[in-house]
Amino acid sequence: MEKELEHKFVTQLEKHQNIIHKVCRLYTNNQDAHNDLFQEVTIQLWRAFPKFRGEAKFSTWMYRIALNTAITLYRKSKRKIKTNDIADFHFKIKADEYDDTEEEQLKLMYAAIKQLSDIEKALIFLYLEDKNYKEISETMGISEVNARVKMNRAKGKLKKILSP
Amino acid sequence: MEELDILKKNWNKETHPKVSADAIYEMILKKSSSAVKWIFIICLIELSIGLISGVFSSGSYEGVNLPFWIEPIVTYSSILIALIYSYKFYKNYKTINTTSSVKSLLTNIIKTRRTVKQYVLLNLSLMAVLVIFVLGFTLTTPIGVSNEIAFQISSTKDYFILGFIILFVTAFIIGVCLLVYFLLYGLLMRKLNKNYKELKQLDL
Repeated sequence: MEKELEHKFVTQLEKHQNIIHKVCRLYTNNQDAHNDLFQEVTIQLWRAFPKFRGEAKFSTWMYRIALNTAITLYRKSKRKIKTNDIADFHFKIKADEYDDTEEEQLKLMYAAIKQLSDIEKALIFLYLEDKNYKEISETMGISEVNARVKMNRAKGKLKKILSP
Repeated sequence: MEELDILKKNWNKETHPKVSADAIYEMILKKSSSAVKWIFIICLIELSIGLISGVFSSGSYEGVNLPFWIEPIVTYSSILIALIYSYKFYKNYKTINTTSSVKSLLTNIIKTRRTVKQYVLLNLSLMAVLVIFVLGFTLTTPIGVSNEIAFQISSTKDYFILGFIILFVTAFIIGVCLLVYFLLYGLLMRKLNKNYKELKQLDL
């Protein structure tokens, strides 16, 4: 029974692992911290898995736990962060529409997002994932109106960071 | 916002080094290092210290002739308080659920933590009250001190010096306890409190 559950979990997680990677991308500054957070999210998902009823999509269920882990449970890695790690680790876009200026803009954008608070990062993450305000408000536990207000503020803050 | 839209356009195109099924199997066997786990462990230690000290505190007032009813009241009430708070802690801890919304998860963790914080503060206050009571009793009642101690401290001045020393030592112990306590939790709770405040402020 346990083996079957394990197998089911690992298969699903392997398929949807990109969600965790994307959360780690916004909340960590280097590859070691990325791997640490990935592991912690996986552990939390596995713990919660026996209660996963399949009513929600596996991916939706993952969003919550991954964000909750990044915002609440994860304690930042004690390893020293080298400054050059911050903006440069893993920026690999599929090479079909490779564009130097766009690549540069993306780097700046990620660096700007890193300066936001944990909560603002979560909102931007959900925006990038194309979630509507109803889903955002449910995930964050705030009203739709407040989610909208906070999202606009986060976007405004990003704009200010990018063009001071 | 143009830059954010460029990111959104590329968001799902980015590739990440794939974690293999074998690596995932390995990960789920590892132990969590989450903040909640540490908060849970420290809370359990605090509660058990309270419970154990309640049981073993009997007989610690030797040399001081307190009224006979003091000791059982102190022992039993401290055990009772520890049990009540352990139950409250367990009940709150059960509500912590990683699948709830960010805000309710933060609220539940902070509530669980608050239970134990109340318990520790209550215990420290009781300790302070007890020390002051014992001190007051000893200094004002002729039969408060056993003959042995009374023999050694004969003048009023000595009584006050003794009283001052006891008071100072108690204040020092409580101060050190509080310092260690706030340092310990300050580090664990800093991130949680910060994020909780931000969400709460938004909902005002």
